[in-house]
Amino acid sequence: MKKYIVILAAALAVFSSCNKKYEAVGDQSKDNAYARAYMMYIVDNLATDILNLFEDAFQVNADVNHRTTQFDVSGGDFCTVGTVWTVNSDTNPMKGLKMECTGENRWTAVYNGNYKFGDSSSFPTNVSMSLERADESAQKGHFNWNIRLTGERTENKGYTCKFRTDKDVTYGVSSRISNSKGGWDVLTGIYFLDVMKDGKVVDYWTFEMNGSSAANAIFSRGL
Amino acid sequence: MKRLAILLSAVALAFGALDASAQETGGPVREKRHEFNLFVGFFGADLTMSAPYTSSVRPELSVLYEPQVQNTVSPTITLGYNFKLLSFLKLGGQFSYSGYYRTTTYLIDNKVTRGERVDYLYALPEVKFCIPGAEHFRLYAKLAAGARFRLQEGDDLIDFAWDVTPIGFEWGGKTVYGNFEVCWGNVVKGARLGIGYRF
Repeated sequence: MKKYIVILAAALAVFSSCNKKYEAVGDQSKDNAYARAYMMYIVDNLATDILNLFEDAFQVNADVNHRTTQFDVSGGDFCTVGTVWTVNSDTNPMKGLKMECTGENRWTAVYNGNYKFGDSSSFPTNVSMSLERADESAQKGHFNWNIRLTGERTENKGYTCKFRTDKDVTYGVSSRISNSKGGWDVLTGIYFLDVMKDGKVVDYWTFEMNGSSAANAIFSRGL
Repeated sequence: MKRLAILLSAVALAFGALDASAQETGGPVREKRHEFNLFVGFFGADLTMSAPYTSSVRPELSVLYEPQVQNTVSPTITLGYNFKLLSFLKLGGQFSYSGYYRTTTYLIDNKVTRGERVDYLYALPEVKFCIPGAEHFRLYAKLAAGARFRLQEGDDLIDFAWDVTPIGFEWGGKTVYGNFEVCWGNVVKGARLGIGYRF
């Protein structure tokens, strides 16, 4: 009988020691990696998707017969004031984007639709951007841009964010970019984002870029 | 936990074999009246309360700002006692413990987590139906119902709990034996492995 009691006690002791490992506390990392990643979808995906569509438009603008393969064209030449082109490709995530020429090397872009950030759900997103085309980079057809942007994204559980640039943000192309679709890696300017829950501002973020890629921007947050 | 399960079954088998070798062979075996059983249950019932949590974070504000809850569930330990009323019927009770450690993570706040321990104790009177079988291998079924006590800081609770064992096996000797039973209820959803002592 004693033997069995000793064995039972030993088994309980083993179980007890197994159980204690659950007392650990999780990661206490100090980086806002998740918020930064969210911001990158605005700076490095949403904005550049629009810029890429403008550069696509310049390319097809030269070929009158192919202008309408990707765009609905109203007014003809893309660089003539008053001309409006609208993205009509079903496969383009920014279908419905309206691009209007407002002056020499100046356009506005307006988007209102469902847009995904990576593997997020598609949420209603509207963006209004004014663009100024600067000089062409070493890559033919790939330009430097100055933009201003405002937008809003309405997500689930009552969350909304409003993002904007108060001053021009520069999207530049360095010599490291080796092809015309290689993106923009010299970014300067500040993005602001307000996080709202049920109509109330609960947080704000800033994303300051100082002449490097968006990945190197300084992210900060707090009311 | 696997090691513990293996240890328990090895102990039961070893002592069962020793005990069996000491018994007289031939003729019906007269079963002892009292029995204690110690079980480890897997897939504790409260596992179902765990929220899904993955390392890949969807870029959505609700994911960043809403708490992400993860429960780490411990196996359930059960101590049971039965008294033989009839050759096929035993009455008794089971006392169980299970618990989990809950971490609440707010990804927007630098992934800081807040830990919270939640413990459950169960006290369930039970009826055990035994099906006569071979001397060293027996089948049974159990029904148990009683109370569950949740011990959580600021949120203690007592409510009803039940546990059904549609089929269980005992193997080993007349005094010491091993158990394996399939069960479903508030205590364990899955299976229990244990050792028993009869006197």
